[in-house]
Amino acid sequence: MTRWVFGVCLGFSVIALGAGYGLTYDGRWSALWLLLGVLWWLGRRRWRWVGSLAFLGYIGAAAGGVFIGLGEVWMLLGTVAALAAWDLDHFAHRLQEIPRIEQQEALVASHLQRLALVSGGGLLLGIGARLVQVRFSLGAAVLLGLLAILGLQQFLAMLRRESD
Amino acid sequence: MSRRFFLELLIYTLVLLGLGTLEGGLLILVLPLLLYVMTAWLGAPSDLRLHARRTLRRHDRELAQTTERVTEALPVVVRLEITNQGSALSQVWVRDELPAGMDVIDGTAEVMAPLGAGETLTLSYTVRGPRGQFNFQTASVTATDLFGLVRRKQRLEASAYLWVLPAITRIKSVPIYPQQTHGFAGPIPSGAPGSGVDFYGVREYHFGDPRHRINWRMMARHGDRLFTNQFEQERIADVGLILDAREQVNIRGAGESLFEHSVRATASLADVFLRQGHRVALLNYGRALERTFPGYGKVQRQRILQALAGAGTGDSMVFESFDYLPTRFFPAHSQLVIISPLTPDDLKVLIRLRAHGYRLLVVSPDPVAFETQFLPNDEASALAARIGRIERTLLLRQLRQYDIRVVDWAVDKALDRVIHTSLAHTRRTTRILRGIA
Repeated sequence: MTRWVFGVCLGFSVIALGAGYGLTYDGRWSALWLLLGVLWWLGRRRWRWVGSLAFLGYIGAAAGGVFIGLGEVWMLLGTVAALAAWDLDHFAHRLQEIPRIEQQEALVASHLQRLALVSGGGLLLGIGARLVQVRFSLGAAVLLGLLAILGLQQFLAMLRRESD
Repeated sequence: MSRRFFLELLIYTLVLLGLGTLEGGLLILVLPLLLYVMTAWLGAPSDLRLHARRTLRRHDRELAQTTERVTEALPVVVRLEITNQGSALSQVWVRDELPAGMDVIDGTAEVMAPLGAGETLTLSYTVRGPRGQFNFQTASVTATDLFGLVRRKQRLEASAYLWVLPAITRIKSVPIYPQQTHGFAGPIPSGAPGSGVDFYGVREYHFGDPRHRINWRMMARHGDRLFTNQFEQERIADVGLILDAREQVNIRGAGESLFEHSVRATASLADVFLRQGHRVALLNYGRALERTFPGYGKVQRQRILQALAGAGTGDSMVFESFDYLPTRFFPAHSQLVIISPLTPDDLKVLIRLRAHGYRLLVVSPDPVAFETQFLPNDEASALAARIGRIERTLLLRQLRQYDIRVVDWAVDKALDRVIHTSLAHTRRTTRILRGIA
């Protein structure tokens, strides 16, 4: 089940990024993202780091796409699908590593459910943020930026403290 | 790099890039990642309130019959119960920490499961271990959120002690003849008249002697006087077992150790002497002077077996030779049983002990035969084995000359049979000598 959903997510990511690049920019980049997807699919069992590397590649691709002005929705879709694939890749590894898992079906089901909610929520949030456009002066933008960085830093520090 | 750190780094980079390039689209890409991290954080386990309980039982026993002692090679079922006394945990990974030397032969010592509030997770597996003392101490528990991003680790105390006792070979009997015996009835002829089964002598009839003990033939020879048959009293004795745990005499090869055979022999001898009712003490000589004080019965048997479970060889300079054998630990004129592969240097000490009035029985696992099986099959090895064999034969012969009884035990043979064969000759000689006396 997990592998199947992972394949779907990976496929979505490849299609979204490939479409974003292929439709409005250069088809060769689409082939590259497809190649990265194939590498992830084939190497995921042997090399655990392949998943993180490919995920980084996809996020880089989405960021690059946004930067050069490709379809933001495609890029957002690609990011969300890559995130889900990365999560499932890790989850599948974990399930394989531990010799005995109790209530595995319930565990997988709740994981997939939560992941679907987060992915859907992330997508909606992204699309919503894209629709809402607020104009700020430069000073206000800088201030907000600083606040955002500080807030993020605090939040991540708190996360680290909590999980230590 | 942990997944969380990786994701944090990615979020930071995207935010900085977005702000640096004034590209709002990059910040939009951050949103799903941020939501993912926040969800993980919100679903992260709060304070872990877990309680662990461990029980050990023999593989062939009922669930309620817990144990702390098993014999070598017997499987033991370990059952670890973890109860969640706090809030529900979406994923708990429990890994039991096994003492070194224990092997899992059935099941697994790891489990992952969701654990609701008040629920109990049971981990059950079967282990087998070599002779020794094993302390099961803690279990490692890692609780994570559903995405495995935020982790909380805890070591739970679930202590249980297991003694893997040496295996015992049932020995029928070991004839011993100590000079001194105790007042209680036992199997050793005491050299004094009393209630026994072996004929001891004849004395004049006393009023009250049972009629069936009257020696009618003597009466016929001596006319009007009556005589009564006397029987030899049989008593219990003090037996001191000395286990030679010196590293230099206990040879190892191909994962086997001669010491293990010595330990099993000691356990078997302790068992037979205690069954016969003797008072038995143990001295483990090598690592230090590890003593088990003299005692009787089943409790003493357990004490000795537990001491043997923890016995190991030592290469202390002090105990390199038998010179420091604490003879005061054993009652004077008692029976000493020494379980040792022996070295030529031990001869003088054993002779001294014999001179002090101790009766000595040496059960000697044969180091030459043991080591030969691990040597290459060539001329040099054969010559070395031959020299070793000659040296050993001479040593044992010298011991016998000093009235020290020796059981030369090739460890691939059954100890019971070897003891029976080796001591049968001594038994006959003793009977003859007693008959002459």
